[in-house]
Amino acid sequence: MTTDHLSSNETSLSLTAMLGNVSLAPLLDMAELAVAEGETVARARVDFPAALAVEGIHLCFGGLSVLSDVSLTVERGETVGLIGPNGAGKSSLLNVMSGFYRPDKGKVLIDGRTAGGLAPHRTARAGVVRTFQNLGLFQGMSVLDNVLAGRTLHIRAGWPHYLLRLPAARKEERVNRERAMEILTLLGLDPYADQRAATLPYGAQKRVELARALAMEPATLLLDEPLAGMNPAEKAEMAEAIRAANRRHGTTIILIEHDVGIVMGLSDRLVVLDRGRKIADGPPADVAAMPEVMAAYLGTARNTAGKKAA
Amino acid sequence: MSFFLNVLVGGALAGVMYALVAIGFVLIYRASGVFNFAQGTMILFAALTFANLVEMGAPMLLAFLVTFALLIGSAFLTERLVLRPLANRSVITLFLATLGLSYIFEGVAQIAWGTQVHSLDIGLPDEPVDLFGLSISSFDLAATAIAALLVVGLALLTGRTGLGLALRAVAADPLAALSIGIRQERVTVIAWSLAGFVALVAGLLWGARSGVQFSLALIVLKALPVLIIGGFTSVGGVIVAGIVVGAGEKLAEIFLGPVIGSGIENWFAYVLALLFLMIRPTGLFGQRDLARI
Amino acid sequence: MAAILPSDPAATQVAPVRTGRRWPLWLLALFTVALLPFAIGSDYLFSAILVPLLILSLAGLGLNVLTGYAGQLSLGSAAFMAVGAFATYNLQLRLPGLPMPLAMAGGGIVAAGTGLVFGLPSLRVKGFYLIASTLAAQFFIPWLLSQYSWFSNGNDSGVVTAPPLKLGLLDLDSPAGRYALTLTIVALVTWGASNLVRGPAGRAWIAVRDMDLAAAAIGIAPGRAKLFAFAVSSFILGVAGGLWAFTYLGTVEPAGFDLDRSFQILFIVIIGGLGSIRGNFLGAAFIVLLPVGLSIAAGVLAGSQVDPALIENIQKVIFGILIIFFLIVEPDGLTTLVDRALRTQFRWIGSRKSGNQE
Repeated sequence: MTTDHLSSNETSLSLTAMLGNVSLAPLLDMAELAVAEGETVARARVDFPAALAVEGIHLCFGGLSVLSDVSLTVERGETVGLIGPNGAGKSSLLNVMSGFYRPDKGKVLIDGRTAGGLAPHRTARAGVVRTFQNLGLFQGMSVLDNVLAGRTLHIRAGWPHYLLRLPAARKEERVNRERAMEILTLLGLDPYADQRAATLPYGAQKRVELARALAMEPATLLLDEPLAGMNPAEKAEMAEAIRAANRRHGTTIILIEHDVGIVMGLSDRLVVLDRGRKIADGPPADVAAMPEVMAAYLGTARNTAGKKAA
Repeated sequence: MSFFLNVLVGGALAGVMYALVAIGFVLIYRASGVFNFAQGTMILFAALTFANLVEMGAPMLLAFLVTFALLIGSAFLTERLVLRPLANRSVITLFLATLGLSYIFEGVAQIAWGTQVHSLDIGLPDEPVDLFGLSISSFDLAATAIAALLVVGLALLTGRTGLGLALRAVAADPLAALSIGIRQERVTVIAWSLAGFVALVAGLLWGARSGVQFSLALIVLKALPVLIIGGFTSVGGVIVAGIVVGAGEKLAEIFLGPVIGSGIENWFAYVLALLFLMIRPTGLFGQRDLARI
Repeated sequence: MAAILPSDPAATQVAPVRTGRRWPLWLLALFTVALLPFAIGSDYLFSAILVPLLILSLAGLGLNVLTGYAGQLSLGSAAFMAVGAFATYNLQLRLPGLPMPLAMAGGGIVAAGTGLVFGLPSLRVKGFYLIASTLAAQFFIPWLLSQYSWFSNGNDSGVVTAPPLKLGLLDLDSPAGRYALTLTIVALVTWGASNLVRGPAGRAWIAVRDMDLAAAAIGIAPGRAKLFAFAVSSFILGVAGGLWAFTYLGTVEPAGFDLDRSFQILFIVIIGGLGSIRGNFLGAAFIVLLPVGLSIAAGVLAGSQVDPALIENIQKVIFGILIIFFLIVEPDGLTTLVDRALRTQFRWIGSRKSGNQE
């Protein structure tokens, strides 16, 4: 099935009739986008199930409701920006998506399959990788080792091979080291490779965490305030790295960030949370103009120069 | 049946002694967030000092006060030389430091007072008392009464006084406590001195019961399972757990002993704690903490 | 229910993994030091100093894997050594013709299995609470071994004399022979452990130690990593136990594998440096040589009427002070102190690839 004659509603309706309940809406969106931007299909693998979806998520801590009836679908290859005032529940939503919190109600679907009860390391194995708001680096390891740890899921040789330094293990280690160094170089971190991660400045540590996440070659990347604590130059570099991951590898990206300017530039879509509810979901320009969104930010929403990281 | 009850009650009262020791741990854990391995050797040190002072002719009250003063002094030194330099380090580091501390206490105690066993008489008779048809040691009863007094006293202290409030504040959030003007060093010294007081009482009771000897320091190890089963933060829980462990040990020794061998008392408490860890990690009354990611 | 995570008292800040390439210089020094004793040939040196030093280093390595790298505090090291010793003895006894090194490996495997069992609670609890599990091992296992005479082959006292050391046609029963066997086994096991530690397994352990949530986020199953650490650590301790019984003590009994021994091994690891392979040797050297040094010093200073109990107590105080000192001043232990000293002294030797500089 090709995408060129799917642009009219009539055609899509009749196709739906033919194929039964298969929803072609995602296909339509992606086809439009792809055609509109003139980009190659390399950006979007046309799979039916969404990369990541949550439906009707409710989450409470003690008596406090953190998320109320939040639903979100993220297509493969999309970059979705998740914004909202502090305490809106953005990080909690990310934690639910990555298996760190179990929601009281609702479903989490990875590639169309229910993943609600999965332990965090299993969602990682399912291709969903997240970074941490307060840094999730291994402080006792060097920068290179941190990124190398990100290659865990690509290890094929068993531990006996490593125990005896058999050729398979030596080769794998060498290959993984090279990959890790490539990513470090990409992010300008190669001078620090052998330094203990804890000794780097905050902004650099954030970059290391991104490097480690990229080393995993994830299908979906959940970034929790990756630009926090950086100066404009570093932010531009990071944004470029994130964009590159999305363009070159088709990585789906969900990004929490307070710098609204950058988020708008990076995202295909913006989702706004306020006090645990989703109040907006659409193209950045549209969402930014919505009165509810401005109200949620209490009147400090109108800016293009970039909001001060909270 | 009455034999069973006798063993049960006897063990339970012995367990009160464990609880007494464990209370000292709870105090320090709540104030400094660390399991003070040195508690056991503090008990030994206290008992040895007291016993030797009495042997040298001092009246009991004076000996008590002098020993308590020494313990307060070591609380000061500990806070200054050990806890303050290790202020932001991990729990395991602090625990290892208390391990070092226990070696120092032990060495100093034995260099100062020698290594022989001392007997200790604190004026509490040990006679069988007939209660509800069971034969119970009067000493154990007295010990239980003292433990109850101590618990009530501590509960009043922490619940009703400003000092207690400060202790709880520091335990809950040291930084926040600092920001409202609570002097952490002072609170720490007070907590450790209180623990020293409890150690002294426990040391005297244990010493009177089984003589003042080095094995007193090993009691601390039995206190750990009691803490785990009771929950590290709850004094009440620790009492209950102490009783459970004490009774359980004795019962196991008497009734399981013939089946699988004697000496069960050596490991029963720990295996019980192990099972608890698997089933209910926070213990009977402890609290789980939320972690924000 | 929302997932509520229990509070984590185990966030440690321990030593960095040494990933610099310093092998050539160290290897040379090690080689020389290892082979030198054969030239000196003193029996006392072999039996009383070198063999226990090597075995204790190995034990330290075992504990280091579990506590230094994987961050799981253990007070039961000696118990796993006991398992290794008794398993080695029984294997050798009941499978006649089994070469000694294989029997020791078998002892290690049995110890590894035991370690797995007592490591299971690590799946449920973190950090400090885990001590209960290893303490349970420390008290239960010696009881088990002395309670049931099957383990000591019907020997009522529970003490068994170890059979003479023979490796095929080689008679290794001399002090030099024991040293050679111990040296070979310790070197081999250390090499293997070092390989594991520098590879993915080691990184998984450090990850779980430093932040197990982040480890999970990159696909590491924390439970499996911890259990693997328990198994490897206990294997190493089991081999050390076998060596202790067969090449050092000459007897197989639960007595020397008590809580004090576990503390001793813990001290080796702290003083030597948590998370460092070389540190184990330095720590063990310290632990073995300090009492010797103290006795000599006491003899020199106070003549011959020094009470051994007094020396022991002074030793305790010194150890206590040292532990606290190292924890405060140099948590990376002797290794870092020595490194720094060597670096300043020998800056002109060797182009070491920059290791983890402070």
